[in-house]
Amino acid sequence: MSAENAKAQMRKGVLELCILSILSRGDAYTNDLINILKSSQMLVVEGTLYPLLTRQKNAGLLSYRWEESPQGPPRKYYTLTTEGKGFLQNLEEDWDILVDTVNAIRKNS
Amino acid sequence: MKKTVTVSLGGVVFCLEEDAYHKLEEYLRRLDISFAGEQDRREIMNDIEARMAEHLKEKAPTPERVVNIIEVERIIGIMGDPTDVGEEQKSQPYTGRAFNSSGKRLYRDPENSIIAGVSSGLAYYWNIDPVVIRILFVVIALWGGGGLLIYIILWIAIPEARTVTERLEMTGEPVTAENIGRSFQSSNYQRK
Repeated sequence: MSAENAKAQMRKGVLELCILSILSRGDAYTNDLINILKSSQMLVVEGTLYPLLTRQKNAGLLSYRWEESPQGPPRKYYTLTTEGKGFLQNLEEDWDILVDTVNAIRKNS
Repeated sequence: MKKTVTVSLGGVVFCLEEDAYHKLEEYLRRLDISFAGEQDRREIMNDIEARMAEHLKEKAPTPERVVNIIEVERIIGIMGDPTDVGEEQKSQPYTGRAFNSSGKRLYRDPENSIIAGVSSGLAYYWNIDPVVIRILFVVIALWGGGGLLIYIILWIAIPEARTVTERLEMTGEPVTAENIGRSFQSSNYQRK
């Protein structure tokens, strides 16, 4: 098991939380999501995002609409649903607990 | 001089050199397979194709600009290898109809065939010795001739495993670049 692999797995686990979190601040194109996630190094390869978005959409957490683009074909514009907002809040609370727990463990050792 | 292939990717027309086209086609097929367990497999693929089209458009804004293999490899690098992208699916059971519970697909095996590879293909699918199936066919055939008929029907109905990807699907090995390379070397597979 390499450190790189472990890091990638860790990021992947919280990617879902990050997507919802970005959308909670406003609607976004897939490209916007990719740019934000890539610049913060949450996303290494872009392909990872698409199955996640579709799964979240199927779970009713997101919805999308098509919007015309100045160049090229129309793009998907994602919105967080009410259900998604509740889900995000739930995840965020859990994330805070997780961070505290992990830090507590690290300091004790 | 190279042949070119014109394709529509994510609703945009591109002109690809032949080797670049094969590379892209193989990648998209492997990616599609890695999403076999996804509910909206087609939608995910469409989204990814649209994104790849955007990346390609940066370097080839018009169809007159031919896309070469280096360009295709670059966007494949950006999108990621199917083993990374579809990885999470490994823990989930396959729901795709064409795969069985262990992720195998039914093909005829032309490399270990006596007649058309039906028995060998079934043997991979059920994970048993092909000899058992062959004996069974012969016994049923001797009984009343039904075995021969069943064999012929299966011959027609089951596709032959022609490509390396199909061979890997048949044997149930994950379709990764590494496995494709290994299978490529070990078989006398010829490019169509």
